[in-house]
Amino acid sequence: MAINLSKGQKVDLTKTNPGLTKVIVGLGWDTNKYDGGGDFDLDVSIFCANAAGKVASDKDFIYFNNPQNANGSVMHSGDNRTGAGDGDDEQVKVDLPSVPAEVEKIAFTITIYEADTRNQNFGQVSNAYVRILSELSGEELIRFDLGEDFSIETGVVVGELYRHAGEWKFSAIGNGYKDGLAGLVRDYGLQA
Amino acid sequence: MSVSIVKGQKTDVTKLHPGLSQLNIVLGWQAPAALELDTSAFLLQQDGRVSSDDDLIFYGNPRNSFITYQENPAGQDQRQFQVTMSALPQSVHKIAVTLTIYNSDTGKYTFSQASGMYLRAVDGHTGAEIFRYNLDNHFSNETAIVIGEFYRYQSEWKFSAVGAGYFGGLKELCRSYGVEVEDTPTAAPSPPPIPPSPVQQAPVRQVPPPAAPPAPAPQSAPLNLRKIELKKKGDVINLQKKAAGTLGELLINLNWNRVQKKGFFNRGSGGTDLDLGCLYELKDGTKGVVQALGNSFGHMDYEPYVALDADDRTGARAGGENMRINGNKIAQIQRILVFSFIYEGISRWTEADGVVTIYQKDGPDIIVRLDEHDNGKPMCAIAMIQNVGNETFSIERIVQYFAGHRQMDEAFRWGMRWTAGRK
Repeated sequence: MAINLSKGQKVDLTKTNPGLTKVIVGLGWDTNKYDGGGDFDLDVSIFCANAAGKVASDKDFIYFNNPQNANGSVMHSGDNRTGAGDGDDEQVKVDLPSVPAEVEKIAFTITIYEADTRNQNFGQVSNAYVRILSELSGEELIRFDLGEDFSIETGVVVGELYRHAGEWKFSAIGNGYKDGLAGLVRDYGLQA
Repeated sequence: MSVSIVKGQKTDVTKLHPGLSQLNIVLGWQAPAALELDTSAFLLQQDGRVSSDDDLIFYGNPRNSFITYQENPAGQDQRQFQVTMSALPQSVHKIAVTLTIYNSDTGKYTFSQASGMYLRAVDGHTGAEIFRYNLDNHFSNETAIVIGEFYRYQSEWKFSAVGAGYFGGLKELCRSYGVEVEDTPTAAPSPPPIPPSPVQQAPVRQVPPPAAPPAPAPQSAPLNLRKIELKKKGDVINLQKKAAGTLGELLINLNWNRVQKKGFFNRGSGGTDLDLGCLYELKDGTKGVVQALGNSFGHMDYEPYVALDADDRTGARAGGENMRINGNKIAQIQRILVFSFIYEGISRWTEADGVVTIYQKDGPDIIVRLDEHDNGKPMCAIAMIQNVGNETFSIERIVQYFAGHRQMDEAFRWGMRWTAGRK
């Protein structure tokens, strides 16, 4: 049964699921149901950061124009433009044992595309979540519903997979940013 | 301290104001005169839908035990909902506050033409503003917008600034919240009344037919979203004709703003109190007055077939004053002049901003606003109701001010004798 996390909580992933290697990180959300205000395009981006919390090369920043890292251990499944439909809106496949050793953590973020020009923010996004599934069994292992925590942000770091004593853990971060993807990219030491 | 919030933002309401007992949800906007906006509050259950049509609070259903709709509360504010927090049933999880365009079906008006829209949350007891939400106008073809939603979260109330809407007007909004809306105007058994020229008739609200299957929950009669406002002096409308003796009751409600602007030396002893009354003339020549003054409350079942509900001198009753006319006795009634009288204190018509609504069975509400003022005179003749062929009544806007009963009587040639009296 999946563990439901609350903001700030950290849980073991590989320790409690021995033999787990390939996981799917699924992210989902609902955007507003109103007629006006333009379409929403939410993007999932992934930052593979080193011990200093920075992304070593552009290749380790995985987003709609760079769907996987150098060795393909972190792979974005593609952009869902509208967020329509049930189930995960976007998925990321992570092959944990193949993640390069210098990558200490993998941060999953959701940002709103052209948030400023479209006058959109996370207050208009509801039911956002991240969950981690076993690719092999399809079983949902961890789930974090973002709930009430966001409103005027245009980018959110939803959670991180990180190394701890030779195992992978997951941290439910849920921190919002007002500068969207550009702000996040800066924070992780990249040039936008 | 008030906070200013932006679209999409969620803010605490009761958490930062523990013990908040009365929440005033206050709205304002600027719009061209021809663009008429209506305000509604949807009381929603956990599933985001209303439990019955009574959960739509608007001009046609202005109050229940915990929420009251008011027009022109004060200053720039246009509309207000007063919510008694302690009386809110647990079943109400959300209160969605909406603005809709009255005449959206003409296709000429959308929210792109409105500006300066805001929602303020105010502590009803201290008058302190809790937060203010200014809506940036990013609207295009919306004719109904959800300004925001007050909602329960972990035993507190929060507010979410939605600021988004629908192209399909109030009808679409109602459908999204599960309120059944009348598809077409009430089928009239006789041709629509033709107002005598040269006076003009105000437009009738007509909800266009639905584009999708009808909304669920057809347990009660559809809501009547129509109203007719008599805007100019001499505007007149005939009520629907009915078979003899079946016209039913006509309810005349007078409501006004009781909030008094508080000055330093003013203890806030309550606002202006308006009394409602009427002069009547029956077919048999009997004339008289129905008013609280002199305890002339009238009677529904015998002459004058007009009755006034007991007066509340404090003016504190949220619903205002009510007078009823027994339409089934139309054959005995010649004419009725509805008036309002400020019995005590200075005649602050501007501040009181009274509005008279005439409710009828199976027909649109008829509204006369006391929006032309003469603060020097305590008496306002509001509307003339006349017998039309013993079949129905016509209602004509007057809104004309007088120094007293006698002067008004003379102006309308009623021909009674007047002496001073006390309640």
